[in-house]
Amino acid sequence: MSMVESNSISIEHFKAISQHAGLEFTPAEMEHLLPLYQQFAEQLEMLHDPTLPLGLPAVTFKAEWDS
Amino acid sequence: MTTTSSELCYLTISQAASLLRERQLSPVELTEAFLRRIAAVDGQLRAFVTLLPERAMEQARRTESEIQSGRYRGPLHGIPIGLKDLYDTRGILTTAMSRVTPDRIPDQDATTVAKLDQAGTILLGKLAMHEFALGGADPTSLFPPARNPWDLERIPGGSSSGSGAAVAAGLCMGALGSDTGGSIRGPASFCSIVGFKTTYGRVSNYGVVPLSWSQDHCGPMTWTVEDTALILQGIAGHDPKDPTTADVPVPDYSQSLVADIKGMKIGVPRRYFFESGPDVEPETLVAIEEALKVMTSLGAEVHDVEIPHIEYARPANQVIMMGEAFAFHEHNLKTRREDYGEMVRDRFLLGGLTTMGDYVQAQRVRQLIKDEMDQVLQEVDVMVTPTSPKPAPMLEGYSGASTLLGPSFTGPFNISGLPAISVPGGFTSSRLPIGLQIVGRPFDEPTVLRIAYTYQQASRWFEQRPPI
Repeated sequence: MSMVESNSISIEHFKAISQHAGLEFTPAEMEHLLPLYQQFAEQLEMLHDPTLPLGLPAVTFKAEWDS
Repeated sequence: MTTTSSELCYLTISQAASLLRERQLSPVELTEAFLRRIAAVDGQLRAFVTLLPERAMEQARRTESEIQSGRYRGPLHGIPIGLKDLYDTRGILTTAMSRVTPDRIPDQDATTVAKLDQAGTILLGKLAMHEFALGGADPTSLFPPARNPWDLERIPGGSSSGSGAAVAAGLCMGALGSDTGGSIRGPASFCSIVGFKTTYGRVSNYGVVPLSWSQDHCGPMTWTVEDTALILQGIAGHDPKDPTTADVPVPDYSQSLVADIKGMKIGVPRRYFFESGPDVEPETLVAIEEALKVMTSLGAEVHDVEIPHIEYARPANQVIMMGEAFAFHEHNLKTRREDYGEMVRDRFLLGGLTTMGDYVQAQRVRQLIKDEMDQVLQEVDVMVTPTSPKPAPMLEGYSGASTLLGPSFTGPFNISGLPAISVPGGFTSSRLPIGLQIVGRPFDEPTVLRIAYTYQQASRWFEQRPPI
């Protein structure tokens, strides 16, 4: 089973990701969080692994209305 | 009763219940014994964050009067317990160990708390935890981290850290924990007690501070499997206040405690749980292999099984957990971020940095792995794994990174929602506890309990107490 390899993330890229998420970080917070995000990104990338089975289930919704 | 105070604290719930019912033991005497032991050792353990001596004694006196007048309620009547500090308790401080909610006093009980109160338990106090049930043993959270009674320099696991430490050290007879990625089973494993995360929907989460709505599980932590069955009986069942609970009949769990597993099929997902390279402690594997030999000698059939995409359970568990946690905490993270301890704040913020695509993929992976586990459980009755790859780590230098990285042996069963118990499975050469995890089919808690009980009776690990 193959895993997707992660690329390193620049501070500028990280800033853009944070702003997109509506989060404002101080330079010190960015410096602290970036290495953690770098590690976490490896896990995020696993979820987008193209070798996952094509029949991967859909997100479903059960309509359970009160009658 | 000629039993000493210290011996009273090492009775099981089952033993104490018989004595209380027969009026050979006073609930007042029992509660006093626990309060004395807490006063003597909790300065070292830090398991309790809020102690309720006066309330507990008042409850004990009322209980004594009820039992004396023939109004015995059942096996939890008069049993001193503790609650992880994220269970809402009416009129009692409930902080979730956070400076964000340092003075929060709920105006009603969580459903499980109300049920245990109705069953007649005596609440000794609220127990330490990892802040908001995530992150790690963080010295920057509201209260100091709890310590492991087997080695005070080590953590008791988390996030139900105080629950694990208190039950193991005889500071209460049972506790409730909560488990989103292993927070009941991890401390049970590190402290050599029993911790049961039941099927998703089996126990109400109403009135429990959420971490991840779709993965949170409440459950019991006790010294023995019998005691876990007793507490589970008291808290299980459909709750109209919690739409995630299932309207499925609750069996008599104590009836399932038959020490007989002849012909039962046990699946071992060896590739991920036994062969994850240097992340798995060799002594842990030796202990679990020994446990499997014991089960074989008792007549069970052991088969290797495969969950093809189990590696992806870890990221799915994390992304769903952190994403849902961020949604719950978003406002406070944007307006008073500094009030969160560093470890939990980091993880919540990472949740805010995940994309919609990450969360949706995590849900699809979750379904894939759940289907694969369903498939395996059509061929075997349960799966058996180590609860944790390694024994309890040292508190000093602990960064909590292990909660973010490395394999998790518990999280896969939060994403699938399957019932999973951790029972004492032996010790390392340094006398650190090792946990054995047994995972069953949905709502088949009776089979999980039966196998756990049979192994417990054969191994007798539960008879060993920590040196405190």
